[in-house]
Amino acid sequence: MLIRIDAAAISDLHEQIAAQVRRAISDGKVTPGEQLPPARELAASLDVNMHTVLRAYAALRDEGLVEMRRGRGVTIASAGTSRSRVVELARELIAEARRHGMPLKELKKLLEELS
Amino acid sequence: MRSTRFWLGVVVPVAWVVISVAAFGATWSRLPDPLATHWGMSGAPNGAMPRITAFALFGGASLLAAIAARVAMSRDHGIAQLVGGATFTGLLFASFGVVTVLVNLDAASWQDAHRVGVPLALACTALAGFGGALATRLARALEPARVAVTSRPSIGLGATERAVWSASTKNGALLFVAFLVAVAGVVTWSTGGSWYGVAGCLVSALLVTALAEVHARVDDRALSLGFGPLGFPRMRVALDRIVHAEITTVHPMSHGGWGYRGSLTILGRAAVVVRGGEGLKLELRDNKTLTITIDDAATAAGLINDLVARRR
Repeated sequence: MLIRIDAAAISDLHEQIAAQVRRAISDGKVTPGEQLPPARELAASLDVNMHTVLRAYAALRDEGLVEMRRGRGVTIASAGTSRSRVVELARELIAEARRHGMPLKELKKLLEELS
Repeated sequence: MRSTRFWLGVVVPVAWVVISVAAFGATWSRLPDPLATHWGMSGAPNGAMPRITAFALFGGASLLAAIAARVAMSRDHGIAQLVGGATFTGLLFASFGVVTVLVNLDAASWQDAHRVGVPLALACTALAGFGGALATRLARALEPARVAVTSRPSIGLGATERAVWSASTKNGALLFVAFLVAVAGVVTWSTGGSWYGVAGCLVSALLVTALAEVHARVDDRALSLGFGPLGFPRMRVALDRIVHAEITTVHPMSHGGWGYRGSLTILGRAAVVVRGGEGLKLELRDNKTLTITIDDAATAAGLINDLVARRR
């Protein structure tokens, strides 16, 4: 799995890290059960604060893409592969709606109507 | 280079087969039956075999090694490793065969055979090791010249970008072998086998386990490798030592099998072979090469090249 971040980019570093992991999951570069590098190690390799990496991992956990267990590190969730594609698209959708000034409430309503 | 092929593939192998066979043939009636074929740590004989079995074992192993040496000469890749291994095996069995015959000569029974100490066994192994290393060195000249690198993979890493790459490769079959060896150790122990037999099995199982799995990471300082499920032992190759990286296809036999093959310090060539197929090949300073079988080698090679270029 390749994680590349750009300090000169507009988006936050933790968002960039999460996006890279998400992409690796949906591309099948990492498989369910596989461990992500420990936060401390990844932070040292990327020369970022450890909390930046932890924040990225926490976001991925909240999206149901990874599991965090004490002593076992961070592993790709079993439903991660199929879920990551949906999460990726949902994020795109939200960003697009925001660009066009559509409030989140209206977007939710739209999704409910369509489904 | 025809003469090197002829010497390493025909003359030397035929010599060790003739020595193994002639040692038994010339002394057949003067050997006890069964004859001593195994000696304890004290040097006293503690194991025997029917004469014909011993002859078949030493003659057969020498012959197989000779065939392997001959086969190596008809290949394009991995000639040096294969002929080196074959020469080592051939010389080992030939020298052990000669020693076995000499110490059994004119003995009334196998228990009366001469003692064989550790130094003599080590001397035979050293002789075979020297022969094998020499054959490897001579055969290296037969290998096709290294093709100039035409492509240097890149991932187009920008000046403000930072990146880290990691991947793991496992070989289930090797893990299974390790498991079987461990089971053999437990069986040896439960049936009251010798302690060094048990220890040998367990150490081998651990070694095979370590070599059945490799974890790799590339960041802006080094390529780090961790072996086995725990990622230990470790190995680190600083980016400063790397000239460039490329993708390669690994044929385990051309590296002499699976595991950590070769030596960077002595041979200038090493490979971490967990499986066949896709691999990362690093050209290091001082004309050394390190090959690692790993998934997603293209990304690793691209990142390494970009990071190395940035350091210059």
